[in-house]
Amino acid sequence: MLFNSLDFLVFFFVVMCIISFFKFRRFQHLFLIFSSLFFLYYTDNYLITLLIFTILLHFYVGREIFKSKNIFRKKIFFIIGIVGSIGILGFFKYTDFVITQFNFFGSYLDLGSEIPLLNLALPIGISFYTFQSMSYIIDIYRGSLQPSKTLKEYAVFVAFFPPLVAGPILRANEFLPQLREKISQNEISQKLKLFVITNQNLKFGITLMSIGFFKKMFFSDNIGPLVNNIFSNPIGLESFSIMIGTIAFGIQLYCDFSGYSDIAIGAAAILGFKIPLNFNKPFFASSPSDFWTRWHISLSTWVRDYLYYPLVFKNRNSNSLVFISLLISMLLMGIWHGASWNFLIWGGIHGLFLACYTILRKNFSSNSTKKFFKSKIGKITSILITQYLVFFTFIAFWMKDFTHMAYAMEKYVFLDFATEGTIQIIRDNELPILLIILFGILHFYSYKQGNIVEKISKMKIHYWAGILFVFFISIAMFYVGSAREFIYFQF
Amino acid sequence: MNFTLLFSVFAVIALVSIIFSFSMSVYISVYDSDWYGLFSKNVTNQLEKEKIFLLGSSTVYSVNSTILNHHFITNEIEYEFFNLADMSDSPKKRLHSLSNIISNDPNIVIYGLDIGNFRIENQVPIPTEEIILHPQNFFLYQFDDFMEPIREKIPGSPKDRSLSTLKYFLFGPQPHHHPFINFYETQITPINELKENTLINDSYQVLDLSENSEEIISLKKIINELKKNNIKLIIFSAPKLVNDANENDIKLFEQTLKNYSEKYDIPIYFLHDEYMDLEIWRDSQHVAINNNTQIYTKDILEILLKEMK
Repeated sequence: MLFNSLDFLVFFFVVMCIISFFKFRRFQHLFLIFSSLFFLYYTDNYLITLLIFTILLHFYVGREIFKSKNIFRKKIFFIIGIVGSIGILGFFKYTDFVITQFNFFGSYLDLGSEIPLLNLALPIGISFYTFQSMSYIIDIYRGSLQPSKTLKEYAVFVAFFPPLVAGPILRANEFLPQLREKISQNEISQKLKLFVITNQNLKFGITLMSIGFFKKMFFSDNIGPLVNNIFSNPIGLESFSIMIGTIAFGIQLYCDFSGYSDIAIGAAAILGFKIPLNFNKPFFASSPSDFWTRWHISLSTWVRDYLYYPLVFKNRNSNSLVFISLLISMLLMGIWHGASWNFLIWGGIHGLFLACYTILRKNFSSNSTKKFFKSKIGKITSILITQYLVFFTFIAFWMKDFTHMAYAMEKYVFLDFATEGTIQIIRDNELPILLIILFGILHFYSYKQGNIVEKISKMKIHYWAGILFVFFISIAMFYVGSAREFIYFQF
Repeated sequence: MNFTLLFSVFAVIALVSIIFSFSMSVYISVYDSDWYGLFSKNVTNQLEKEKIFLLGSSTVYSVNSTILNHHFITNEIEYEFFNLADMSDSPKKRLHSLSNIISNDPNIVIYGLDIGNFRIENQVPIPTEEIILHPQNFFLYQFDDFMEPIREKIPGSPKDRSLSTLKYFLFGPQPHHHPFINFYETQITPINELKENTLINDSYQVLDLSENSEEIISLKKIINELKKNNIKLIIFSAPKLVNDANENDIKLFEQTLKNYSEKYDIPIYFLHDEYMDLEIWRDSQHVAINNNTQIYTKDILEILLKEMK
C-alpha cells in the first residue's frame, strides 16, 4: 500500500477512527497488529508469512537467550536468531545476485554449467524488519534489553505499519516501553498503554505527514524526470549537466525517502508513538561523519552500534583497524540497499571518505585548523567540500551500468567547462530546475529555523490550516498523474 | 480526537478540491474549447496550409510532428501536422471535442484506435483466489462505480495542465503541435524486460464491439460527422508491445475495423502488432519518444503520403 495513494489515506483514517472510538487496551493492541498485517498483506499477499515467521522466530529466540544461564546455549540461540534473519534476507534478496556472479565467473573460467536464476519476488520491507529483529536479539544477548513480555507486544514492535515498509528501523528499547503506561520518565507500569489520539499529537502528525507528502509528490516526483533524462544515458553529456543530474538525484532521493520517513513518523505520532528522526538536514553536513549522523540515521546508527563498534572494540587507536572497520561497515550499508555492484561501490566510496576523514582528523587536527573550521568561512568550505563528495557518490547509487558510471564520475571530477548542452537541458527542464532552487531555499530556511515541524504544529489553527492549504494545493496542482512508488520500497 | 482540528483539515481538502477542479476547467476553456494553444487566433488566420490532425490516446503520442512537418516543408507539401493525442482517449471521450476538431477545418484526420478503447468492465464476480492473492484488486473492483466519476474528473497529468494554464496566463497563447501531452524524450526499455514484467490480466474486462457499445456508437458518430464535413478520415490500429487481450479478441477487433472500413469507405491500416520485435518501447503499451523509434512516425508518414495521392 503506497503512502501516496488514496488506499492508504482511507486505511489510515479508518484505523485512526477505530483506535480513537474503541478505548479498550487489549482490543487496541490486537487491532494494531491486525491492521499492520493487513497493511502488508494488501501489497505483499502471501509473502506476509515471512514477517509472521520472523516475529515468531525472534520472539522465541529472544526469550530463550534471556532465560539461558548457560553461555553455550545462549550462543546457540543467538546464532539461530541471526542465521534466521540473515538467511531469510539473504535468500530472498541476494540469491539471484550470487547466482549471476557465479555464472559470470563460471563462464569466465569455462566451467560449462549455468545455474538458472530463481527470480524470487522481493518481500516488501524485508530489509527493514529483519534488521529490526536482529537488533532485538543482539540487545538481549548483550544484556542491554529485556525480552518483550508477550508475543502481542513483540508483534506490534516488528509489524507496526507506519515504518514497516521503508523504515525508520526501530529499536526495541525505544519502542517497547511505549506500549506500556508510563509511570515516570524512566519507569513504565505493567499495564498496557491506552492509545489516545491527543490534539497535540494529531496536529504534529498531520503537519509531518503533509510535509512528507509535499516532499514526495511536489518535489521528488517532479524532479525525477530530469534525473532520468540525464542519468539514463549520460554518455556525451557535459560536466555541468552531470552535476545538475547528481544534484537533482540527491534532492529527489532525499525528498523521496525523508518524505516517506516523515509520513511514517507522523502517522505513528498520531497513534501516540514517538519514532526518532531519520533525516536531519543532510545537505548541511560539514564532514562525511557528520553526514551519516543526518542521513538515514536509523540505518547508520544500526550499522555503527552492531557492526562498527564491535569491529573496532579491541583497538580504537589503530588506524588500520578503524580504516578497515569503516570500510566494511559502509560496504554492508551499500549491499543492504540492494543486490547490485553499484550499491557496493556507493558504500565503498562512502567508506573511503569516512575512513580517510576519521584518520586525518585524528592525526592532523592542530589548533589552527580547528580555528579555521570553526569560523564561518571554514564551516561553509567544509559544507561545500562534504556535499561535493556526497553528491559524487549519488552517481554510483543511481547508475547500474559501469560505463555510464565511469563516464559520469570522470566528468564530475574533471570539469570540461562546456555549457552549450547544459543550457539546453536547463531550458528543457524549467520546472525541475525551479524546484531544485526552491528546495534549496526551503532547506536553508528550515536549517536556520531549527525544528520547523514543531513550530508549524504549534501555530494557531487558522495559520496552521493556511500552511496545510499551501502544501495540499501544491501537491494537487503539480501531481504527475499517478502514484509513484517510493525509491526505498525496492530495498 | 479534536474535531475542530479534523474539520479544519477537511475544510482545507474541500477548498483545495474546489480550486483544483476550477483550475482544471480553466485549462479546458483555455485549451480545449478554443484551442488557443493549438492555433492562437492570429496564427489560425495566417495558416494557409492544409491541416492533418492525429487523434488517439497516449498510444499515438510518440508520433513526432516535427519529423512529419519537416518532411512536408522540405518536399513542399502544403500540409501541417498536429498530434492531438490525449491521455486515455477513446471515441466516447473524443466526441466531446469533435466540434473543435471540425471547426478548425482539418483536411485529413488520422485516428489511432486501440483495442483497449473498446474494453468494458467484466461484471463476473472475482474468484476467491484472486481476492486472496490480490486484495487491492478486490477493493478496486468494489469501489469502481464510486471512483469512476472522480477518476474521470482528474486529468491524466494535472501538472501539465497547471503549467500550460500558467504559461498561457503569463506568456499568452503559444502554438504547438502536441498540445495535450508533453513531448519529452523517453527512454527505451529492453523488450525482454518488458515482456517479462507485463502481466496480462483480462479477467476484469471484456471486449465490447457490439452495436450497443457506447464506444462504437461514438466512433460511428465521429465517422459520420467527419464525412458530413468532407474531412478525410484514416484509421489505424495503434501499436502495442503486449496486447492486453486474447487472440480471439484481437481477430474480432481487426474484423470490426475492416467492416467499418468497407461500410464507410475509410482506409484502414493495422499497426497493433507491427513492431513487436523492435527495441523501440518505453513500456508494454507505448513506443518511446526517441531518435531510435522513428519507424512509427515514418510509417504514419507513409500512410499519409499514400492517402494524399
